[in-house]
Amino acid sequence: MSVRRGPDGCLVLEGACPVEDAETLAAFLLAEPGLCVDWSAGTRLHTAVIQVLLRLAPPLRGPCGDPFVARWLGRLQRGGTGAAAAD
Amino acid sequence: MNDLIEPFVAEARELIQSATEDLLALEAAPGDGEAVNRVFRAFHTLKGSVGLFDWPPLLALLHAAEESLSAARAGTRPVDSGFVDLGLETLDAVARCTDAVAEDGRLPPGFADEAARLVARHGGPPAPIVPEPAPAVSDAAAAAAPVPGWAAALVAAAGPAGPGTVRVALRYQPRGDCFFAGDDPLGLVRRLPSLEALDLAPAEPWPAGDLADVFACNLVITVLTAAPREEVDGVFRLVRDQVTILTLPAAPAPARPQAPLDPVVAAILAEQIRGLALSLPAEAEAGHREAAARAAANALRSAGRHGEAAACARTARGGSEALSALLADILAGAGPGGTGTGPGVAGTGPGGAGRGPAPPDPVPAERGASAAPRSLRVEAGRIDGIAALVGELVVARNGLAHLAARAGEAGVEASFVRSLRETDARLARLAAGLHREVGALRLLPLERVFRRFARPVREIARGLGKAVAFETGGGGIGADRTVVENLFEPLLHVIRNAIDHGLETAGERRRAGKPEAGRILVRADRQGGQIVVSVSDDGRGIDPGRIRRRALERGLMPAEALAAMDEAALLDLIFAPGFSTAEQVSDLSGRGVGLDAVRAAAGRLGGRVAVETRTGAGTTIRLVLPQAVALTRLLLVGAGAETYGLPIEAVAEVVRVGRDRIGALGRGEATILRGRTVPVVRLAERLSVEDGPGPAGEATLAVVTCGPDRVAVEIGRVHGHLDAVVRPLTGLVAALPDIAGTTLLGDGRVLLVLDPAALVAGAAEGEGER
Repeated sequence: MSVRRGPDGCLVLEGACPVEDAETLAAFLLAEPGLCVDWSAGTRLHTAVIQVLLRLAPPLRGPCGDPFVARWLGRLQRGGTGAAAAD
Repeated sequence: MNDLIEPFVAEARELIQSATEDLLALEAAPGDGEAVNRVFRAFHTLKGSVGLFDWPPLLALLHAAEESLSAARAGTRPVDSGFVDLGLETLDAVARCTDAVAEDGRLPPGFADEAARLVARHGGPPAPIVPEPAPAVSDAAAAAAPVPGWAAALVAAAGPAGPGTVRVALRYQPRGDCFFAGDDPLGLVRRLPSLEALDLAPAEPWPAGDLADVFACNLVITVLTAAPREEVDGVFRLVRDQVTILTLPAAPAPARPQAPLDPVVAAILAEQIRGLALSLPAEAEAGHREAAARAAANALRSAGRHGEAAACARTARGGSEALSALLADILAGAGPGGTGTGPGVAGTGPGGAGRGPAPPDPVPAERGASAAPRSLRVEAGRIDGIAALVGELVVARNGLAHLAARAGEAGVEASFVRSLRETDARLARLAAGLHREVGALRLLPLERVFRRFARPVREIARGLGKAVAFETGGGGIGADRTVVENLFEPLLHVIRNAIDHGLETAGERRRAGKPEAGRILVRADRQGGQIVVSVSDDGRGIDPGRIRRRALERGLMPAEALAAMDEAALLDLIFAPGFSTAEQVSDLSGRGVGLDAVRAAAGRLGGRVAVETRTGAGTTIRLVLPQAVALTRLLLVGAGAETYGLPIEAVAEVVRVGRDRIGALGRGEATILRGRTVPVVRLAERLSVEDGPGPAGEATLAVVTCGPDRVAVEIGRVHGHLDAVVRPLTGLVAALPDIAGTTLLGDGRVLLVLDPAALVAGAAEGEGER
């Protein structure tokens, strides 16, 4: 499973997070609103997983381990809504 | 078979059904323009679908029907009963084609002649079928269109392009069910080289938070890239219907260099562009646009750019997109007075194609499209498969609960036992939730079956020369798919009976002071966990005396028994096999099936039938049905020559033990299983069934649990298992001890189902006596 509970209670996304992880992630976050998510070890997040993060906006820890997401959707971390752009 | 045929058949059947209903509605109210439109649309859609296949006669027929409906819409063709009849006949023909196509992919033999005759009745030789032209893209119009707001927002975020750089803007709104289809929309975007900007936003406001729609995609992805247009087209070719792709031409060198914008002003402008790109309801949009124009104008004035500020206010009247484009121009340094053409648009796609210079706001159209109910067509068998798996899951979870309890007894470390229990409790909640959801998936509105009656009622009434006002109610109530699908035949039978025997002739009704049209009402009501479907008529009612005479004639019962029966018992005889009260056997009701078939059908669904009547005022027949058909898995166990069902959820295990391990305990017997003394009950003895001697050396014991108590029931052979609907006991067998209910076997025999709680309690009593 690529979504698990870390030792400090934070949810940890690990490796490739396929579409099914969206449900696990949402279930955790809905059961415990405010739970933080450590996405630094997630190497490739499926759109459905990102949609859950966008929708439930949990506090995110660490730069995202998925370079594409870190580059273009890093703003999820700050709850921003504006477009990300090249420098 | 062509894999387009299956969806076509499903869609065609629905369209035929809805067009039939609308034609009937039209007959009742010929002035109903909306109904004409609906029928027209149904034929139009059918024609479009048929166009995918090579079936010229069917296409010609649908085209002719569409033409004649078009004439009806225009008022040049009267909507009378002849018109409705022709429409219904056409639908019948189409329905036969659909069935034939579903069977072997071909139209029925001889259909061409039939179609030609119908085409002639629809208005002579049809006009040639001209395929509707695909919307052509006018390059000139496209080029003149301003950059839409979303693209302007991207440009604003990415900053101006380098001189000579052609960029492509893309707006991708994946279908709601794309995750189910295995798509990863951002996965496509990842394949685009040279990204310059990307935005991700909800397409619609998020629905109220719950788990059900985690897998519904509700995103709009907008992207700006410097990749060549062909490459972008290539990446998104499979989702072409969900994307709008615009090529933004190279920015010309600014003709009139201006002082660069103050960063604060630039940020304010960019913010307005972003705001304008949001999807808003039409009524909120205008206010939002005005506020954005004011904010931008104020910022520009503060920077001394009065000309541009005035341009903002002017342009705002032209719509959000125009305003966005202007702001993007100002940000890019072109300004309204620049000699450059500004970023024009040369592109195709749902959002940008064929627009004139004053484009309509795209928001309302997009809203309308996404407001349509989103649904996913799933084969019913797969839902049943899921339901069965969920049932297994619930049973498997019970095993875990048992394990958790044993771990506690076995002195396993407390913290481990606690987390095992927590996991089990969570699993139990999830499994129960899943069970509920899957059950709800199987619920269908009764409307589905009710609306199929309009047509047969019309025909039955015509055939009998009676006028009938047919009404339905409570169709929104949901019932298990099995119930809904198996209700049509029995209900139709009851309705046919009501029209045929219940309703008087027009003359009789006039004399009785009733309206000439008899009233038939089919309605559903919820009553506790059950659904009551009733068919009422306002006819003559049932005369108990006549039933008594008829039963005597038919030799159903001896005269003295009949004389002793009260009215309710007599009425109940109408459901007895071989009973028919009609003086003449009509060609409608007298088909050799009586209301006994209705009672049997209700029984198969786990329900019952009752009748209520008032002489001269009418009759109501009620089918009381379970809302959900709960399947119970039964272990089929032998006792002597008999077979009984034992609910598997109550069976902890089936073991063989040597007879020497069963010892006398008080007045009963007991054995030791897993370190516990368990009373042993012999099933055949308990049920007073003749039983030969069991195998000498061994006994087969089914360990039945109920709460903390358990009893080992000695059974004969295990004959396998069965998923069945268990009906509670009624009537004569209600008093049988140890029996919880009955179920019908495939061959029509009745299987008695044991009551685990009674077996366990009985064994406890036995112990108590000692």
